[in-house]
Amino acid sequence: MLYTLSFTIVDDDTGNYITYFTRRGRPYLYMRDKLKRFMRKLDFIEVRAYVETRYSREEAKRRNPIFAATVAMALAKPGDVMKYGMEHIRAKVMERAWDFHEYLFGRRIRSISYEKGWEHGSERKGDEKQEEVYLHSIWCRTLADLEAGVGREESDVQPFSYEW
Amino acid sequence: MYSRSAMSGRSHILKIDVDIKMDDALVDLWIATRKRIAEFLGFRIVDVRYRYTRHGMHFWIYLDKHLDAHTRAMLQFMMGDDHRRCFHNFIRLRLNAFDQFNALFGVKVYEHRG
Repeated sequence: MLYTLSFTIVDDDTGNYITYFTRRGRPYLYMRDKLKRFMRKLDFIEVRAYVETRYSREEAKRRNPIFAATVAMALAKPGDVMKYGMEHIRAKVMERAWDFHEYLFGRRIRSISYEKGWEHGSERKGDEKQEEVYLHSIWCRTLADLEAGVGREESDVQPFSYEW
Repeated sequence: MYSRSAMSGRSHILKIDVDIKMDDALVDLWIATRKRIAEFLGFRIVDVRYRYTRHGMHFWIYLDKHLDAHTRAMLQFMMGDDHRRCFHNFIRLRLNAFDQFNALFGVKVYEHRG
């Protein structure tokens, strides 16, 4: 099944619109400004998924970590949007964010973590390879670390595909 | 080293989350006051874009110069960003991850998977 219905989403980096549509069987992504004029053709849409873990200060006295957040960023071509659909693309990126979050903190953190949301960005020319997902996580182990601004971070680039 | 940043080349844009929906007159007044705040702090606003969301509004404020992460976090706070978001932005700033986590969610969920 090909996803040929056009849609418009907001580019969360700039506030412009990103419009997806198909013409003569070919998919296109265009950026439009606030007056809805076509500004430029996009090669990629960037999808970012966020997972977060947060304790209250009282709970943090007993448990670790107090604050942890992971973002997964991946690029999707117009052809990917047409083939898989945005829902599938978002779900795949979120899945990788969860995988990385659990890899760092263990599976038990799943019960106290939550999906925060997705962001969409625009990429005209992707210098990076499209078959990769960029993962970044930050966390503080203790309340004292959080207040002192002492935290740790971990980033990774992993191979990625939107295949079913 | 992989160097993709969520805001690469866009360090002149402030992202403001406001948790109320304003009418046109109030939006105009809000933007005018933000311009005065920016002038007071030595910056100039060249463009403002906004969208209505389910719970409020998102603003993108374009400044005349590129800024470092610390100044942007401070300016977002001064411009009336959601205070809880500011609190987390300052944590992320201290962890050197402000650009990656300064998010305005186009699609927002609060879903547990546990």
